[in-house]
Amino acid sequence: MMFGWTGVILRVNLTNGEIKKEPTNMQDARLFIGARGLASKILSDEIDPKIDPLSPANKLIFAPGPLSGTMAPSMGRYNVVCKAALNGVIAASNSGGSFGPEVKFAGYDMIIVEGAAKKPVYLWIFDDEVEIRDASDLWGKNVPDTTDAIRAVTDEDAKVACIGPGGEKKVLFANIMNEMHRAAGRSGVGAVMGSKNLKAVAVVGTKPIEVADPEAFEKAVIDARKKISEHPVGGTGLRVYGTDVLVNILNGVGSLPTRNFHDGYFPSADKFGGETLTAKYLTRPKGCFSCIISCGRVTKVTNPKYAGEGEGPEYETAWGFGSDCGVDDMDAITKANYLCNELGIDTITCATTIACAMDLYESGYITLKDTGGLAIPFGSAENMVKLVEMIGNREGFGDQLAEGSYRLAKRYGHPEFSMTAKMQEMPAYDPRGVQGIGLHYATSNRGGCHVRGYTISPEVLGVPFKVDQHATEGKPQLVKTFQDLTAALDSTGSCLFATFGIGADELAALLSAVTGVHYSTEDFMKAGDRIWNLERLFDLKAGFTGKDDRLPDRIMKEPIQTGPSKGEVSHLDKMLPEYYKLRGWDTKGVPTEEKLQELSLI
Amino acid sequence: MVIKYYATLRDITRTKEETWQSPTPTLQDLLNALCNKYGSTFQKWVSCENGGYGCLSIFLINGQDYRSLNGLQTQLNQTDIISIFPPIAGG
Repeated sequence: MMFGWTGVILRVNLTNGEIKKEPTNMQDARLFIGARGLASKILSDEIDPKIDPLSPANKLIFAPGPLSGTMAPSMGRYNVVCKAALNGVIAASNSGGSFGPEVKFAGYDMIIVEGAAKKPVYLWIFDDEVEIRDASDLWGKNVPDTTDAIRAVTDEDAKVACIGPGGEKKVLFANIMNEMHRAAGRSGVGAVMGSKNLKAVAVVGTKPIEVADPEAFEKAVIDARKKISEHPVGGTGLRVYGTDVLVNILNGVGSLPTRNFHDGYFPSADKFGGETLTAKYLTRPKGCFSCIISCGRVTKVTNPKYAGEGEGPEYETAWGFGSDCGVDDMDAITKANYLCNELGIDTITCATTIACAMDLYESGYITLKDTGGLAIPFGSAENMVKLVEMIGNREGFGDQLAEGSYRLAKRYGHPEFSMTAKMQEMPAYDPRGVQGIGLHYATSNRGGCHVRGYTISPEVLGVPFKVDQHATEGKPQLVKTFQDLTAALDSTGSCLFATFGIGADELAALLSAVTGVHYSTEDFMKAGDRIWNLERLFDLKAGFTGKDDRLPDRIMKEPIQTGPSKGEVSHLDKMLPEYYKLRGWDTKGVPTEEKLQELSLI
Repeated sequence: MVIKYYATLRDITRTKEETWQSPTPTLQDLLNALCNKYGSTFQKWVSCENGGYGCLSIFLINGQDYRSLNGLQTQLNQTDIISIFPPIAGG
């Protein structure tokens, strides 16, 4: 009998229609845990990192973890792993809801999709029964309509992960949406799904997940639930205000990127912060599978100009369509969020690409002729919302923005206007005002990203301890620790927000009780280190080098202009050599043979 | 000086910000005075389990975290802007 892991991988080849069930490699499962880690190991073994990500040679893996579907708290996450459409790195895009646990209930550790269908299809899974079905009549539908249509012909409780028009048209930052509102958002995993003509995966599962040591598991669950629910952040703060509560604190410390990172302070930020969202837009909070935090926001906009209902915005989205575009109209910001979800495109890269376009427009490098007559200075809320639709449908000027800010800025001769690391847009924390997060952006294996090394927690929020946000000392070790912990956590099926109450000790205890494989805290952190290095090796083979561990010149050379962090720039060069050393990498950022042996990667 | 409140502290104080003119030479003096004014609910959010202030709540003096200044003994001036956040997080 298998515990935690189901021991079965579902493999679907869309080119020839072959459907296979294979045993999970349990030696790899122990080393790489599941979800992000185990799927990345399989992808690394099975594809050439140099392939075109939108070719049939790419594979798309839907991967929950061994804790997914158990009653451990906040275990609703799964990862979508493939070579990224946006920037060619190894992608592991993480989403919540109930889709991941449902895959486990159907009996699978993961679903590997390979090849490409000749015409649109969707995958229907009911436990052992697996079908590739025609999706011609679904092609062109948005995310909610697709979800409803599939549920109508399969099961009203089916968990559906699908693409919208953005994925069909291969917008390079198209996402995969599950249960309508939860997004595997970053890296363009939806474009990869679109390239395979795969509109959706719908799942119903009825099988139990076996636990190796029920007594130890119950004890570990009670301990974890207590720590999360009694923590002021996990227990009350996130449920009441959502992630958008961060707007005011980041603005308060002068690190809220503003107008495409020209500044780090936006005077009217409170208009789109979590307090405003809660007071004027929130209908109810919403949680993912087994979650006791419920940070999700079900919201409504009544202003007829931007009327709608949906979920969000999260902090990143409110910032992107807010201060980064120079906009403080919460109606417009929320509407832009709804449209991204319906079209199936990533809110962060969408918003920051529009911010980049606004920057190029104000500098005269993009003209009205280029935009089709659309005036887009910073602050133009109405045209920002119009651009979201144009991007998702690849219409007019939106077709250029659908390639992301790196290609857009390069097209107009000014790549320095793209606020990206490894060609993926940086999120909502200014690395000039918060030094550690800058080192993380530069070294993240998927490019500009905050969730794989969230040092904002100690650097700004003081959780679990406070460090000076402006200091560089100690940051390389802090970044490495957060990156390793997150890599291991992502591989269990846990939500990152659980770590506001629990850490590696509790996660290792849960994992051990569920799987029956003993993980000490050290084993757990070492698994994270192993996964981080595995991803690094993929990126190096894909053509990236240490020279790509960089931040934009604007971040390195142009100080923040106003606010509490005025005058600050990133000191990445002071931190990077020590980071490489702590990682066991050479001076060019390549893992040494000794390090790879230590991690059982060779 | 101006005191700005965020998240649940806005509900407790029923204001986003207020002008403060009473003499409070240090941050600790100010927090003592605010706890007297707003009572135990306010105190619960800004104080530590074992007494004192801070821990998971955040106090900014002109945008600088009080812990990078002189902690609770940081001297306050009439022109200062004090921002008070209860424990918050996100991502």
